[in-house]
Parts: sequence; C-alpha cells; structure tokens
Amino acid sequence: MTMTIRPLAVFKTKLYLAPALPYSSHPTGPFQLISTHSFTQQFFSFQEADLTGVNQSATNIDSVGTTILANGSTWLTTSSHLGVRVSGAANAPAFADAAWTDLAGADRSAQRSRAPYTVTGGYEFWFERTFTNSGSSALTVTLAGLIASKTRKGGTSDYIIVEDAITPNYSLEAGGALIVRYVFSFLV
Amino acid sequence: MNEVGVRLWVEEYVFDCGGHLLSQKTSPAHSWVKQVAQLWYNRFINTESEAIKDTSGSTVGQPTNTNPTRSDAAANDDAYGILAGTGVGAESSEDYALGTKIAHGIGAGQLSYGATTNTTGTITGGKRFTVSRTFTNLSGASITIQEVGLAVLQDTKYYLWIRDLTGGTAVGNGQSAAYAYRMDYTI
Repeated sequence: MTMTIRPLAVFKTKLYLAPALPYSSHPTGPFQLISTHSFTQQFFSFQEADLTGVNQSATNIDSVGTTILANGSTWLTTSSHLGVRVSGAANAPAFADAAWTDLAGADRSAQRSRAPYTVTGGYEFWFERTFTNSGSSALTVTLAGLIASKTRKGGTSDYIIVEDAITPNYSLEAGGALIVRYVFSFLV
Repeated sequence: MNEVGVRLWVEEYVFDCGGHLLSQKTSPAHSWVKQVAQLWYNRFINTESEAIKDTSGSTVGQPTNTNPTRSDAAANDDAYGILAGTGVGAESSEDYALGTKIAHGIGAGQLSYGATTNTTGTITGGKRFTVSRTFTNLSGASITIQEVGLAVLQDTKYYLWIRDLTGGTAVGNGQSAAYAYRMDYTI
C-alpha cells in the first residue's frame, strides 16, 4: 500500500503582537508571531460539553448557552471584560490554569475581530485588542489570554480558555500601546 | 516554535464477524473544514454573522447559540456523528458533506451504523477527546469505505466538521469497521 505523508490537521491559536499608537488600532510595527500554544482545560470542557451535550461537572460548564469573546463596537477601556487580555503575572501557562489577573494600568480597547477567511490549507479568524499604558512608568507584559463566558449550572461565569507566555516579556512604555491579536487557525 | 493546539488523528479498526481484530491503523487526520471555523466564530461572538453550509448544501444561519453542537448520534442515525462513505474526491476545506455517504441499513451497499460515542482521557500536558463509531456490514457483500467524516447536530441542522479519505478499506459481509477521531488538547 502506498501512503502519502501529509501534515496533521491542527486547530490552534496563534498569538501576534504589534506596537501601536495609543488607542489606535493601526500597528506602527509589523505583527510578530509570539506563540502557537494555548488551550486550557476550560476550552476543552467547552468542547466536551458541546459535542456530548452533557454538563461538565468538573469545571461546572453547562452544555448549553452562549460563549462570548466580547466583540464591542465602540472604544472601551474597562467595561468589556471578555476577550483578549494581558497580564503581568509571573506564572508559566499551564493546561490547568483557571485564574487570571489583569495587568493593572494597561487600558484595553474594545475588541475587534475578523470573520473566517481563507488561508493556504484552511481557514482562520481573529480577535484583537489594543492595550495602552496611560501611566507614567513602563509595564511588563508577561502573559496574554482569552476570556470567554459560558453558562454554568445556576448562572454564567467567565473562563480563561487560552493562555500564552510572552517571551521575552514585552515592555509597554509609558504612553505606549500594544496590539494583541489571537488568530484561530484550522489547517490541514 | 512547537506546533501545539488541537491535534487530530483518525483511528481505524476492522473486525471479523466474531469480533476479532483483523487490522488497525492510526493516521493523521487532515481536514478541518470551513464549517468548524464558522461555527466557532459565531459561537464566540454570539451572532449569526457567518452563514454556514449544512450537510445538505443549504447555506443557513447558525440557528442559535443556546444548543450544543452534538456529535453523539444514536445507533441507526446516519445524519451525524461519524459518517462513512465511498467518495474518493480529495479532502478540501470547502467540503460540507461526504462525497457519497453510505446509508444506514442492511440492504445492498449499506452499513449498519452503531451509536457514536464520546470518551475523555488525560494525556501528558492536556486532555484527549475521542469520538468513535462502529459500522457493521450486513449487506451480503463487501463494501469499501473510502472516506469518513464527523458531522455535528445543532438545533435541527447538520454540519460537517472533518472529512478524511481512508485509502480504501474493504469491509466484508459480516465484518465491521470502527473509526475514531482523536482530538488531543495540550498547552
């Protein structure tokens, strides 16, 4: 039997960073690929609950209900708490991570997105936010992540579903801004 | 940079009529198709912005986000879960259905579909989700499975997520073939 070796299909996220002018969605430098890692236990449980139609008691995630990665259409600094986030925490990303601490002082924009589009070998879509340091001293960005909400038994909770280390850490200078883009990639 | 994310594999097992394993193989799966990206996008932003092609070829808005996209089809249900077919067209991200689906049944050219089951396991650094189904050939003649795929049910619509060619797997009368899509999630 002849077997043709082809790449493994991967569904992954890719994390990109680009400097920007404060509160601007236009990068002032090229987007740089930082990581292709990332899904956490909570994302797995989303998928598991979805495909089985069964509540995931270990993570308290319901099999029904919305998943939202905030897609606000206006500029916001604090109120859109879902979607792309950055942190200054020191921990390395782990599959079991469930908690998230925001980087204080990094004002976040509303989230922007691009609907699925064709790339070589598949489809991608993305979400991004601009984080602006309006303070007077530099901030150190160590982690990026995605927060989603989903119904659970008795209510709705927010979950960290994607987490990546930013290596080397990014120094967000006072008055500076950083665009953080998560690309979801479905490739063959 | 390591390639991480959800890695997808397809496993194949063929059994004789006594349940003895005749062959098995595990191969990289290939085709996440367009609909899986659209379904995730719509779910994430909580809108129906992406019109999605269902397995009948109709382009429809994703009905709602309030129901799961289920894979756990019951026995005899050939509308979703893991599906088998005889189509040999190359895998493409644009696939929305199997090329030629083998219908459930015991007539000529048909396979008896078992239930699609889901299992969860732990792997190093993450979790594994496996979707599997057994097809039994009671048709009276050999059938060659050329393609398999995974379709999901959301509300009343069926959407293809994955399609793969098998390379041609003959399943004799009385024999059965089991397929599993294995999704490995790691960070």
